[in-house]
Amino acid sequence: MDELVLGGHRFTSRLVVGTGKYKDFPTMNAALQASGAGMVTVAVRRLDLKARGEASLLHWIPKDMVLLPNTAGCFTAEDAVRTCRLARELQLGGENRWSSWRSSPTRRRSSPTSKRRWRRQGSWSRRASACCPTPTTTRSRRRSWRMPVARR
Amino acid sequence: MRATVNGEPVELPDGLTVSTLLQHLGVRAERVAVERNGEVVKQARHGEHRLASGDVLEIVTFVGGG
Repeated sequence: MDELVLGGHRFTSRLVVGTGKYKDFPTMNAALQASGAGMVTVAVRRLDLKARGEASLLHWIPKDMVLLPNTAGCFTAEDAVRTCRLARELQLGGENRWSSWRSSPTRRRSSPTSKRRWRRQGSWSRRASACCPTPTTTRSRRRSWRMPVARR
Repeated sequence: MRATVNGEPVELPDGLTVSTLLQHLGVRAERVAVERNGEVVKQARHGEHRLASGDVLEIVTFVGGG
């Protein structure tokens, strides 16, 4: 079978699926299983310390899927590297060291240049992780990066 | 002891480590990553990092998105 090999992982599907916008976790789980994809993107957010008893996202992701944490919402190279470090720590066991490198387009002055972004990414990937640079066309009006809050 | 957790100023008991902070907050350590003053604290070392007044902590998790 034709396989895609990325960062030591073998994929029989080129499809990468996401975890946003689902109405609930069971629906997301059903969609992930039906997709046949081997890779799923997730976001890193602040834990909402006031929320209690919410189910973990990871509980609803099939165990054989590779997690691809992304840096969506980061407006500078420093923020993206920081998020990648936290994502690496979040990935249990350390075998699944991936990050999708994504920098949001924003003000010209705060948006990292491609050259700088890639330099930082190189620095990051040499340290520990496999990085998958992904383009984004999303326009954002946010003025500064602040790690949004997640529910537990 | 005053500290900042996820952007909010909080009053915490003295002598907490990262590990006991998570217990204090009712958070399961295996579901989160912790950053203390800009540096990631590895889960295996949560018990070694004793918090100090003025610490800035970030506790993050995976969520749907992207």
